Amino acid sequence: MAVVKLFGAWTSPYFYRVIWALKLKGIPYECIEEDLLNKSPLLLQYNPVHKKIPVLVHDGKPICESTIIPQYIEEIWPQPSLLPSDPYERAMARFWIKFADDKLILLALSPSISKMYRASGEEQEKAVKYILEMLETMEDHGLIGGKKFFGGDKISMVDMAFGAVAHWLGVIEDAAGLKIFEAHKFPRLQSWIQNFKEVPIIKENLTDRDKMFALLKRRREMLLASK
Amino acid sequence: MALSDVKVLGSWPSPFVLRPRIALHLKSVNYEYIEENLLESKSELLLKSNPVFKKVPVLLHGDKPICESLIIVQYIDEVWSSGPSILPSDPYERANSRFWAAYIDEKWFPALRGVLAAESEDAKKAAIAQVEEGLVLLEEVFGKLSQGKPFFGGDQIGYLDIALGSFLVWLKVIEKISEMKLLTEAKTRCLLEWAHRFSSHVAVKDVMPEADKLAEFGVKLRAKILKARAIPK
Repeated sequence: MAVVKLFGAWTSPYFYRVIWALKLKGIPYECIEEDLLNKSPLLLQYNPVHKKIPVLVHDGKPICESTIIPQYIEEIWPQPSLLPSDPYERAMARFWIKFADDKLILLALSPSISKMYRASGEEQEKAVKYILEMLETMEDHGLIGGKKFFGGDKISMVDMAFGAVAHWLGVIEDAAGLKIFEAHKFPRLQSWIQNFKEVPIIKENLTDRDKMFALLKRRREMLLASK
Repeated sequence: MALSDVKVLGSWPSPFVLRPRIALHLKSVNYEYIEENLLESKSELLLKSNPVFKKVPVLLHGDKPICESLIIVQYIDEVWSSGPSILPSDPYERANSRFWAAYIDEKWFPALRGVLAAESEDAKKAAIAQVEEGLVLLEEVFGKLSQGKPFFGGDQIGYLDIALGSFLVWLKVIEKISEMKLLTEAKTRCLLEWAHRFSSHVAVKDVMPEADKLAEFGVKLRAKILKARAIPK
């Protein structure tokens, strides 16, 4: 019987944040795929407040929220570490994780949220501007000093929190017919994306691009047709 | 020694600023408090210390700035580890405390702010209902986490006490605007009692703003918010 269960959805970058943490630490787990349009009673029981994935269940106890779950994992299974040990560096890591969380809501693929591929015209323009500002902040403040990853030489929770930018953003751009991230405008970010995706665990655990593109394209067409 | 220099950049009406101050008091750490005027333009020091969000509170420890109120509280807990613990020691309980603190900031506080910034009676009523609903939920949480003890954190003020307690005076202001009690004997008896205990705690009472003064500020803040939306008051 699996001690660790993870409820998630294959399209969600928030779900992958937890997968990466578990796999980087070599923790075996059972994955339970949720249909976000038809959530299971078990999920609703484990996360009655937000009714969202991901949810980690450890020895029958649920832990919710994609920023809280990795910290829990780090505390129970400290090695290899995914957060700095120095309190100041750790505070900086948490700061960037919070920033990622606040800003990346626009890249969430849940039906009710993503304005990028769902909207058009002014609404979409606003979403694009918002994403650009986020990318600029990451470039100008997060990745200074030519670091390989946000925390230095090693991958950490901060990189995983920005995972959506490394992989999901590109698919959404294609589905929405937009070009937001231009590599020459964000050289540090471009480097980071390459470094991040080259980490074996990350490379082997990314949502299927073609499958996701097809899904987003279908959804977008349906939404625009219904307006 | 530079590292023993502790400053808090804050603003008296801000509930978020109370959090690091209460945490520092709990740990008996001396600090210098620097006031920022929220209704005027931001100081050089603030813009330099928090270039990403440009907000208070900021903790300056030596020359290192730490931003975001709950992140600051965790930092304080980790650096001054010889003082009483703010976060629980058990990882599951820590996750739970973090979960509810996030709920308070991301779901409950926007409803509270929504009452202040409501443009219509309907919007106000809807926001008030959300605030009440949240408090009823938090009453249940208090029951489970306190386990008969005086605070969310047990015998001592903890992370969740600080997260929710920092909003208590604003809650009084919102009660005044709503013309009704939101913490009540009927629905939130334990929280009502907890609120008195928290507000009169030695680490808290000297930094809580006065309700009347805050109510006056609330009027100005509402005007500022509505003006920014270009809607007549």
